[in-house]
Amino acid sequence: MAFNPSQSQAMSQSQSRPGTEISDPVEKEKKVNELVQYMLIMDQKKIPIKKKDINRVILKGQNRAFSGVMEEAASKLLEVYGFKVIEPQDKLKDSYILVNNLELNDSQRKLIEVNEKDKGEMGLVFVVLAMVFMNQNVIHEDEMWHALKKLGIFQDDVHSTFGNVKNLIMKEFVRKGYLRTELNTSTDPPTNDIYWGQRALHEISKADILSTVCEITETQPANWTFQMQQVDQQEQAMQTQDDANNPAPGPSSSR
Amino acid sequence: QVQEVINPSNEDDLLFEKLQTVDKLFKPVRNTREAALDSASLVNISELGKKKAQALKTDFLRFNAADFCDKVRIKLSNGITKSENYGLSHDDWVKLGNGITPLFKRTPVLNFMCGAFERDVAPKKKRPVKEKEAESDSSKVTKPTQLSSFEETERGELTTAQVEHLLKTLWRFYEANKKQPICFFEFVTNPDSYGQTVENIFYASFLVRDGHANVFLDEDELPVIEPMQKDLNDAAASARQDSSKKQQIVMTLTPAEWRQIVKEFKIEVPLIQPMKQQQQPTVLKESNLSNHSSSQETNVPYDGKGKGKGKGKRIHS
Repeated sequence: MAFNPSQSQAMSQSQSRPGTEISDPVEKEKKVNELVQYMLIMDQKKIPIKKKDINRVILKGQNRAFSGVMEEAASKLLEVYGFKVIEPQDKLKDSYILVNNLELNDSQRKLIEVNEKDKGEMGLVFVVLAMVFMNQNVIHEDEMWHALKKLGIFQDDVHSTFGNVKNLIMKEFVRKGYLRTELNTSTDPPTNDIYWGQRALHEISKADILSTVCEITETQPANWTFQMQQVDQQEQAMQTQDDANNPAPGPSSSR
Repeated sequence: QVQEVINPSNEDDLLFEKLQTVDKLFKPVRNTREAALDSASLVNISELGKKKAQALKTDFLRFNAADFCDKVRIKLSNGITKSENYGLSHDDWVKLGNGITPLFKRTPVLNFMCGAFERDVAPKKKRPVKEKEAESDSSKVTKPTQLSSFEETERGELTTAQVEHLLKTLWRFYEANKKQPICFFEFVTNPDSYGQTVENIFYASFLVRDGHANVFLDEDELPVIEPMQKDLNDAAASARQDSSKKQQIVMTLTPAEWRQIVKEFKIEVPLIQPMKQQQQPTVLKESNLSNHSSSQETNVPYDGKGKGKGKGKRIHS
């Protein structure tokens, strides 16, 4: 089942505002299709797609028709591609990300090509997310760099695989929505605290992180009390969301 | 150093020691600034204290980021303990990526099967090439026109150009002379060349014929020349022109007379610059302009009235 934290909204759930539709169904269809294509292509960068860009490129003045067009585009993306359109909150508001809604087994996964660069980067994303979570949802920038040294990553060096790692982690990953940083002024000079970003919250579950960490550290999830609490919380939230989405009683899915 | 302080397993109680030091320092504090520094360091210490306490935790297991990363490395090297200093290789990162990618609900990205087409490269190449071609074309174009005009011209059009040149010179000097008629001989005579002088007179006659210039005798019965604004609408002007046209004179000038004129009028520099070299029909406007400008620079400024000068010189001879 797709994981849906209560803070963000999946577009298929939203209501379109009345009286702002594109009257001509043919034209509306055209715009919807354009939006689908647009989002698929913009997704290449994994940077949240901005509403204002959509208005500028696709709608070109018919901005009020936005929600109607987006709603249909989102349902097409879900039904045809298995992609869920998510609108993050707070800083990333008025932008949209695509999240995979399909659960694929191993043989199916083999069909999807991921290039090496992305694989390597995801490896790094995983390590950072794991550190943040295991460190109780926040880690101090200095501590992170200190730890990454063990993996051959130094914040001021140019890495053979990642290049400017500092930029990659502190800017790129934040831009994509995997991480979130907050400036901590209590240190001199001010440094950053690192949290999970909204994309991370949608793309990976804390339970999965915990189990993988345990595999790596050869420990048991049950031994990590705080983290287990987090996992439970998340699953409960998921459950509530599921119940809200599917009023009919269905089998509860927990990982 | 921060890590040392926070690490609870660290035996020396650095944090507490620091706190004691700050406390001691607080006693002699008098000024606001020092007190501010004091409170800042207290905040710092308490932050660190909090971190230390967190690190202690009631958890059965403590998380240590550095240890975790170490274990990641070990896991990827399959238990073979490589030297710690190398970290993860490129392949290691890819291997890690392979392992964890299934955990992420990441959408596969859209790629074009045949790749993107290149748009901008071609036009850019064409443009400089086009420009070069255009340049060479235009230069080729001008050359034929030059040559053709040369052939056409022989003497005909060439003369026109020369006459133009003369007229322009005449106007220039006329303006410089405060719109007073210029002494004819001073205008046409070229002290360096008899032939050129004759040519100048020849061209001047064209100007007169066409009504662009007027030659008449001044009070001293010396010929002077002035340029005329050919205005067809002005009846009086055209009447004047008509009357001047009706007069015809034949002028002779022997080399001896030329030399005498040069001497007596003390002509040192030709007022009319010959166009480029003699007998070479170059119709390039640029050279005309350069001639103009050079003539402007090198020419002796035409000061004083034509008549006066002439008169004065006459007397001296």
